[in-house]
Amino acid sequence: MANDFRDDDDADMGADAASMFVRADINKKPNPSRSLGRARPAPIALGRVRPAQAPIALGRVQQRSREMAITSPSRALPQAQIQRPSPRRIEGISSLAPAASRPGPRAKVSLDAEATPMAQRPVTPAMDPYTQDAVWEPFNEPAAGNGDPFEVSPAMPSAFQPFAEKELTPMGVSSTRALNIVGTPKPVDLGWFDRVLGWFGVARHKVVQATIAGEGASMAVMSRSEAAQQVVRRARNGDQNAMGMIAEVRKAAIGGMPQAIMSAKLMRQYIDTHPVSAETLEMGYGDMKPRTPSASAKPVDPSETRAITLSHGPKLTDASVLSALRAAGFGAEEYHSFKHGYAGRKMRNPDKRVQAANAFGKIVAKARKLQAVREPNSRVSDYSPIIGWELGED
Amino acid sequence: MALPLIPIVLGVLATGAFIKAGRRGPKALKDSERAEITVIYDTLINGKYDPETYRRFATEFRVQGMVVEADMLDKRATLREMTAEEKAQRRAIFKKGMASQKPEIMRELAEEFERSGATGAAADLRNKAALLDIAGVPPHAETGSQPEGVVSHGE
Repeated sequence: MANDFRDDDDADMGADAASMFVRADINKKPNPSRSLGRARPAPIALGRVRPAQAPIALGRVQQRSREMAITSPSRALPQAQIQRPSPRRIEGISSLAPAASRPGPRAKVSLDAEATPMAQRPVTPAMDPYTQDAVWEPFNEPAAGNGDPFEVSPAMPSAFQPFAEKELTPMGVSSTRALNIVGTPKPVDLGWFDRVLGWFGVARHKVVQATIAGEGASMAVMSRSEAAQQVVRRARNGDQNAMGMIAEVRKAAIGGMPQAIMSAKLMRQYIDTHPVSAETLEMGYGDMKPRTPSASAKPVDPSETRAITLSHGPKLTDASVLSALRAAGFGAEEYHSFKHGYAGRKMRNPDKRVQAANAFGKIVAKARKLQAVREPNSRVSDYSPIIGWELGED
Repeated sequence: MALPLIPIVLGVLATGAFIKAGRRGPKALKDSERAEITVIYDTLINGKYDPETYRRFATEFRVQGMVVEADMLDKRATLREMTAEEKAQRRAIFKKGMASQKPEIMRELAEEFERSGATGAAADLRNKAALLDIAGVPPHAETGSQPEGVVSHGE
């Protein structure tokens, strides 16, 4: 699925464009009192930019329900029951139990090691949650042939495993004490979008930044380039911690640490493209919003950044998207919400998974439009009518 | 006989003021006029109109002294008057720019498109370049390439 338009030698593109376009020869100097005083016209409102929202994370529904159960006085506290397998291994019981040669009846054992005294614990080993077979409940696939773009192909094999277990793991995901620039990476919990990207074999540079309040107080997830930009902006505002971080990055990059080298490159790139001006100089922590003319102060819609990331990955075919939905564990309701999001409609549903599916549909729609416009035989007017008109399409 | 100096001096001063007033040109725009003309210009530059309309408004803008805006409207009129080969070449360049993973190349192309009057294409390329700066470009799944410094799990 090679894209012929991903030209590695992009330097030729600039020369071609320059030779093709004729520069205007403006002999007359404009009268400053009559000019509108702007170099560029107002930008086209290509779409409403919604304020940045926190990424939707799956897996918090049960935690939220527990919190609500505890704080709500009208609800009785649930009995101690195992709603999902506990990740802790019970070493004591496992060491007492023999091998699988003496299987016994499964006894009800609390996974809390302190609940039952050692002398009363049965010999039979407790159920190890990591050895339990997962129960796969496929969702009701929609009927094919009704013009649905995501209709299921009947030829899809049941044992369809497009990616190996290792390849499902996104690459480059790590967390450190600060910005993943220096230090030993620690495992970080992935969001749903990174899991889906990993299924497509696409990884995002993901770092976890400790806030100024302290390590582990609250972790903000952002991309490596965004983190590098923030460090530079903070240093320009006089943040001593940010200055120290930059010095550490420089020292680590000289020492040859790969993460530090990449972070240094991103910082250099941001510094070159956003030079310091009188508007950016501000003593103290100050306002973190960018003040350079070239940087946009408007909040960026996270679906736009995710869509452009996804569009540079593998081709988003119907089969691949459906497989990704299955791998993410989306059911029939989530699939319905995904279709609504794909069509640009929002689903009013308090369930976080349904909202996540709706957001994913919106992202996939944008990514597919970006992939389609790069195709040689596609119409630019399908991507944007105004751009198509400007480029000569009827 | 003594000449009347005061009337002569006043006459010379009045003549000089009259001449200077004639050289000043049209008066500066009021805020209300500027706002109205801004709306008209933005509607034209971001819209789809026939070349005659653009040239007519360009003439009006030039008469008012706004040469930069008039030139942009003239360029927009010439967009539709290009040959089919030129249009196809511009579309191909735009598609290549959208597929590029280098924001600086996209910004260069945006500048060229804007100089030729294609402000919509320029704005979209700049928007995508800014998003690439924020999001970063993931490794290409087909080539399996990894960016420098990425550590995979289990390695």
